[in-house]
Amino acid sequence: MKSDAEIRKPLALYIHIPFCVRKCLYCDFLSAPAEEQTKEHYIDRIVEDIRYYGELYKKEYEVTSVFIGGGTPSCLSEAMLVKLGHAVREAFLKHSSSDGSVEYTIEVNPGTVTGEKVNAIKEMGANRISIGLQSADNGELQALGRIHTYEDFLESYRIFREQGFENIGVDLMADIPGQTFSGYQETLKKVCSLSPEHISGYSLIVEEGTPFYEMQERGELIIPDEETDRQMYEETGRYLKNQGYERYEISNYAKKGRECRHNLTYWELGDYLGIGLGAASLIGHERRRNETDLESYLSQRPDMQIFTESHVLSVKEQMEEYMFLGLRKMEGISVLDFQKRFGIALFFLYGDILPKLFSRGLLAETKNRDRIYLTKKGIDVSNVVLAEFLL
Amino acid sequence: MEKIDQSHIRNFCIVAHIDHGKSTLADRIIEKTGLLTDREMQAQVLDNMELERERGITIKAQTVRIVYKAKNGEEYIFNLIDTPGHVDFNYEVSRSLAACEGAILIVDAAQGIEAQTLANCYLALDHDLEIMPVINKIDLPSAEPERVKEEIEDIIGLDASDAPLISAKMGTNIEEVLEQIVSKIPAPSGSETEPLKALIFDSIYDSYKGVIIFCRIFDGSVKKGDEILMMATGAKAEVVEVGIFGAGQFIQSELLSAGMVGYITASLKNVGDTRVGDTVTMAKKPCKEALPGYKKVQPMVYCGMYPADGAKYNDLRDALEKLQLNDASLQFEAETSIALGFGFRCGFLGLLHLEIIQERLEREYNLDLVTTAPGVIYHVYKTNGEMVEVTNPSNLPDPSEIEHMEEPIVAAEIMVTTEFVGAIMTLCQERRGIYNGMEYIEETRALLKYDLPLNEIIYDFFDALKSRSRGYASLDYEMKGYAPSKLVKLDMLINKEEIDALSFILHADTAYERGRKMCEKLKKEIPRQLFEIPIQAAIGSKVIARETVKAMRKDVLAKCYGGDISRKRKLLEKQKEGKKRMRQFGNVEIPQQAFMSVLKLDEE
Repeated sequence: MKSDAEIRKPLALYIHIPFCVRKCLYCDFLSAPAEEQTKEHYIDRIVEDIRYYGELYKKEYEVTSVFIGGGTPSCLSEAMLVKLGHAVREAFLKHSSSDGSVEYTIEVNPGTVTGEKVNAIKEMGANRISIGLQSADNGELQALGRIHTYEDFLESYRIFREQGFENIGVDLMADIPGQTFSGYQETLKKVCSLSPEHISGYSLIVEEGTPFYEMQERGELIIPDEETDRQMYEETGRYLKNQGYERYEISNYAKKGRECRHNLTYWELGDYLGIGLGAASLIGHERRRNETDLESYLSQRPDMQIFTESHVLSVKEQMEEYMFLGLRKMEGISVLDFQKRFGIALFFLYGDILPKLFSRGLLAETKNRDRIYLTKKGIDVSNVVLAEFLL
Repeated sequence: MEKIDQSHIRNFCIVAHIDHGKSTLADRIIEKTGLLTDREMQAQVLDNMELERERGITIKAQTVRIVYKAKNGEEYIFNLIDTPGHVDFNYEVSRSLAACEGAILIVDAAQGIEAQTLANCYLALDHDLEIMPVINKIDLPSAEPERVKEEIEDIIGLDASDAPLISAKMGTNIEEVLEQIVSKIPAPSGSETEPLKALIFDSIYDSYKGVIIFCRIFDGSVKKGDEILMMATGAKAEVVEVGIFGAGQFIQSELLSAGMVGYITASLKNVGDTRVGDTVTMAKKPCKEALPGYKKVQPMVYCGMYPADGAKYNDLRDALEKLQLNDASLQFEAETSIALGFGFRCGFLGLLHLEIIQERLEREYNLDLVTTAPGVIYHVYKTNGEMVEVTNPSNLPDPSEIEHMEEPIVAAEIMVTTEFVGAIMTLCQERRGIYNGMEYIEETRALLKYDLPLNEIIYDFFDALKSRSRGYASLDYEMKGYAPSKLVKLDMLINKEEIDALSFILHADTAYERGRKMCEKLKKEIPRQLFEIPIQAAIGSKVIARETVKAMRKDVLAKCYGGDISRKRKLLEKQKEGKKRMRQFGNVEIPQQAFMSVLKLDEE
């Protein structure tokens, strides 16, 4: 007979830290600078939630990945980090059958990393570091309103390596104001020379409500055109492949076996629990989003939490999400798995859409027709393709 | 009901330039005569259609009968016949005037005489009406009643010395207006013994009563059971009911006799049988001759109307049929567009009429419409000697078969302050106007006369006029006739395919400019797609302008942050929603908005 621990369902745990040193000019995430006291208060608050949900889900779920994101989690003090790490371990990891293999990521910002902080991160139990670098060009970093230089990044990177972190991801950005194709190539080259295990490469999206948006409205934001953007995207794939990285999702590249398991959970409709301000969850088939106002969030009790969104996905919505999330992965989606999950044949459900997308060269299928994936052209205009899967 | 002596009836209307306060004065008159309680008074009781209220324009003439106890102690019956306030409805105005003995001429104390003041006043004089000037809006700080009085005397030649100075808005001096109606406007003087002779000045369709004829009895009388004859249309019917107009309601009465204004219902189902201007008489004992002035109103402006959702075609037809029950001047017939599917070619009195019908279809009948560019009736003389009337550019014969074409011309009068004369003359010249002279109304104002092609003024002439004169210019026009013109058909090609719904007929000299603007506008409206889309304007096989919608190179989601899938879903849903509002032409998707946007090329 199997023990309880063996039949528990996997759960990805996300913890949101909505604080940073200074807001970047493009940032529309839930994040802002805050007083130490507010941070303290916040940590105490999420620790309550961590304990509450740890208790609530311990029979049913087993945490297989932890992701502490932000904001800038590394702007917390060492003491706060340790407190947070301790709570997570006690609530979710202590009983884990696979403690050692849990992927445990924390996002850090180069300007906030010191030897002490790295020690604290190590003490938390984190085994994966995601560093927001964006660019190896100090002019571009400045244009983005980042608080750090490339040299700061090198120093942070060095400390993490020195402290034995073997799984480091670096985030890069394309379409930065003032960026050129050759400048972008330079960034790729510099970063690859450090040999991180994982690289994310996103294009800048100018979101409403950000300083960049206002600049764009005034015609003051000069960013690379779409043609250059696509060249940079293509170059990313080509160059990183040569360097031993595989593109496994539209914007993510990893050395073999170093794909980010936590993020794969999102794309594969796995269960995840979001703790903290505005964090999203998918539990069972229910999508939830926590309170997004800090004051209100701080005043809530874990057992009486009010969600700003709470919605049980219909089968139709599950099918849509399975498609538009799954197709973000380069391996695409499994035709068989779809049928198993939903009891309906993919080619029946999307009988009009699939042939159209195939014939336009936006989607392709594997030789034995068991998987469907985005083509290169399909990736470029993925929104158009993915929107087709809304029923 | 007690029989009313004709000497105690006053039939009158109110004429004014738009916004000079016609409806407001009508409200005050009704209020002061005390037939309505305050609670019954809506802001403007005469304009009873929601749309009219919003636009502040009277569309269908409304009529009200009120009782006024004058200072001499006698009671008088006032029949206030409302007149539509727009040049599109000039004929209706003239028929309403023909039903009256007198007219109150309202002039704005600040603005003075405007183009429509003059046009309406002359129209009233043409019908031998007694004109009673009233100066309104004396409460405005900029009011200059004395100057306006002088204007009325100098320009129109009316004695304005005792014109009431009123504020319809504040209710100031309304009694004086009422007293003058009694003392100045003549009583009717028809013969009650002659055969029935009544003028139809409006008719509406009511789902319970059928057609309701609004009429003025000149001679004779009519009662329930009489068999009546419409002299122009030849329709006959038995009278079911006669009555008078309360405020917003019909009050049944036994008899309508000479001098009275009222309504007749008969077993008629179609307002087409009871055309405005026609004469009602007795079928068995008709009057010798009909009242003068009848004409069948012909639409001047045409456009295609298509349901945005092709499945709503039948709904659109039902809605048009219902509207037509009430509006004999609205015409429509089925047509098919390659681009837009099944729809209707509709004819209107003018652009305002078009817009009103369009809005009513959308609002009252909940239809989402795609409308093609409005055009006029072109006379196409073919080489075989035949003449065809063309309203739909797609029906234009092959150029090789066309000998020449003619387009309708209107005689326009534009009143403008002298500082803007230059700007307005430039505008008229741009619109191919032929200068017909200018009169100085006073030192600072001039009346410009131009012959203008109708198709140049149906788009946005009025807006351009207002913007180039900072709102001071006013316009009036009437049909003059047809004149030969160098006309061509401009086609729009999207991705090399001609989109028939975007074709239109225009003067050769303006084709290049318009084609260029159309291309630019369409470029803005058509979202980028996965391939490059050429947009071309062509006359025959000759391309005269071109733009290109570049291929979409990139449309990728931003970072999938913290598992916030809802946000991604919303973005994709928005994308899908946008696609729904597109029409597919071959591989190209064109938003419905694009068809509408090219109608307003001169906005920016």
